[in-house]
Amino acid sequence: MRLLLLLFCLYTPFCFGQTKEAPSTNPKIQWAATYLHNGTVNPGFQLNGTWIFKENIKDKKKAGLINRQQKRQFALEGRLGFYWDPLSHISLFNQYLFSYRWVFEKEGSPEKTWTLAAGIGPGYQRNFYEETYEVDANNQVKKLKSASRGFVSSTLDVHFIRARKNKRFSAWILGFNNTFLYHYNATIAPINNFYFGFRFNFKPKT
Amino acid sequence: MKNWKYLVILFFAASFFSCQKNDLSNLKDVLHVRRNNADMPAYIYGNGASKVFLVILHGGPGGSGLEYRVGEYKDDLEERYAVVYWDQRGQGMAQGNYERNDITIAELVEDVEALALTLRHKYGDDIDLFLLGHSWGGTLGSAFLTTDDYQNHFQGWIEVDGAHDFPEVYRQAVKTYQSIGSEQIGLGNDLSYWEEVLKRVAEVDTINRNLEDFSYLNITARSAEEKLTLSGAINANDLSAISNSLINTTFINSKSLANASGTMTNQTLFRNELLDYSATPLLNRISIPSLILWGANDIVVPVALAQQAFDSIGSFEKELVIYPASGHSPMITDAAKFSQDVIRFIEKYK
Repeated sequence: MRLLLLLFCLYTPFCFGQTKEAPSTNPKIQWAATYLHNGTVNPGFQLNGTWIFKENIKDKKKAGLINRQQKRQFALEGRLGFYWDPLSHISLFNQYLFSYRWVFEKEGSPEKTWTLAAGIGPGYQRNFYEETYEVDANNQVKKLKSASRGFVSSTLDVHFIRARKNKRFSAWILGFNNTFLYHYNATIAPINNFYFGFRFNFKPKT
Repeated sequence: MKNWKYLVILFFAASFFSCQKNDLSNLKDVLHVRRNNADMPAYIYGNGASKVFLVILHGGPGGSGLEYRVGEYKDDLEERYAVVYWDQRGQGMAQGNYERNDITIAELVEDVEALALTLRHKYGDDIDLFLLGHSWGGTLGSAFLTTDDYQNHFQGWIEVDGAHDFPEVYRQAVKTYQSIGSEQIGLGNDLSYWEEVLKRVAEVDTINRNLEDFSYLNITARSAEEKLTLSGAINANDLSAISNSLINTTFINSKSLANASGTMTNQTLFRNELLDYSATPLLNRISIPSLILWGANDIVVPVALAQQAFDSIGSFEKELVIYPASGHSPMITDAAKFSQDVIRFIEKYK
């Protein structure tokens, strides 16, 4: 399990680093890879795909000097990630978010675009335990080859995106979410995730 | 300079695998016990080559095993024995999918047996198991040892400030507040604090026990023991215990999961069972060697329960030790003496 985890950690950024294709110019689909930090010290990683399916644009003139565009976007986001609780479990999760985004863009300065997004949606989390022994009703003990347990979840998410000029990784992302695990020990239990990373394969329209 | 990336990767890869293999004399194992829809982690540290495993039942309900891996006493114990810090069902990092009616003392008793069976399965039938229960762990340990022939899994029982009889805890807490409060007022210590406490304690309904009064008695006991520490009646905590505790519970456990789950478990047990739970009439069933350790100034579970446990336990091999300058956690406030007493007991009966 640890070997797989290590290979995944090393392989994923390696793959992104080897991409030779030009970044996509389609702003409707965005991809991001972020370092994820769960709880106090649990490290993790997250891949994020976003589809912007509706956009409203409003021009704003500020003091008659600079044109600003205010965009309001509706997006669907899919996330796949993991975190590692060193003494307890490795968790794989996915989340599906419906998000509303406020995009603030200055005319002629796409690098100064920034976005604030808030989302909500369901998900699923599966926790894997390293060494587990099952004791049945007849008091027979059996070592399990792999032990895991699943929880349906829902997530409240807020993140901030800042565009970067002429970079392969076209924006950086900073976010926080609160995920609630249902039927966790007969209750609903929250976990907090903080994440930071980069958007890739996407070039903002100028 | 190009090679620095490879050096960083090599460093992380090396550190990732560096502490995987344990030798038996320096165990650092984490295993999970799965029973009836719960996965309960046991963190095992210390000298497994001794073939002696000390299982610690944590307090609460709602605590966690690693809260007890603190201070000097754990160094002494881990040097000689393997110490098993176990998260009980619905507490610490124990995870599961079950209903609230699965949170009962009887269910947790079965979990303790599952843990004992698992330890023997992994480490061999020739290991010696000792059980130590602190506070709520004393309740669970007493319930376990008085159920069927479960005590045969263990070579000895160590009860530390254990709440084996909640109605008696309730009664004695009122008396203890009154006696210690009056004494502290007589000495001129924290007058306004103790006067306020005595005023509120006088309103406690001692005939019809209720959760509101019990919560007051229980929660206020923590601040009252802090006052006693400042006045010198209780020894101060050693600093290593405080730092260990921070590391173990804040930085390792996922606090939000543990808090939500532990609170639910605590409330469920108190609402359904604990307020009226007493193992005292059954303690005469305990026939294995027993050691009862108590802080004389314990306000959470008053010292009168120590004598009650000693008188009621059926074993012919039993001992009572009172620590005069300790409160609810003598393993922290009288660490050296505490670990000596535990080691002496285990050496005698292993």
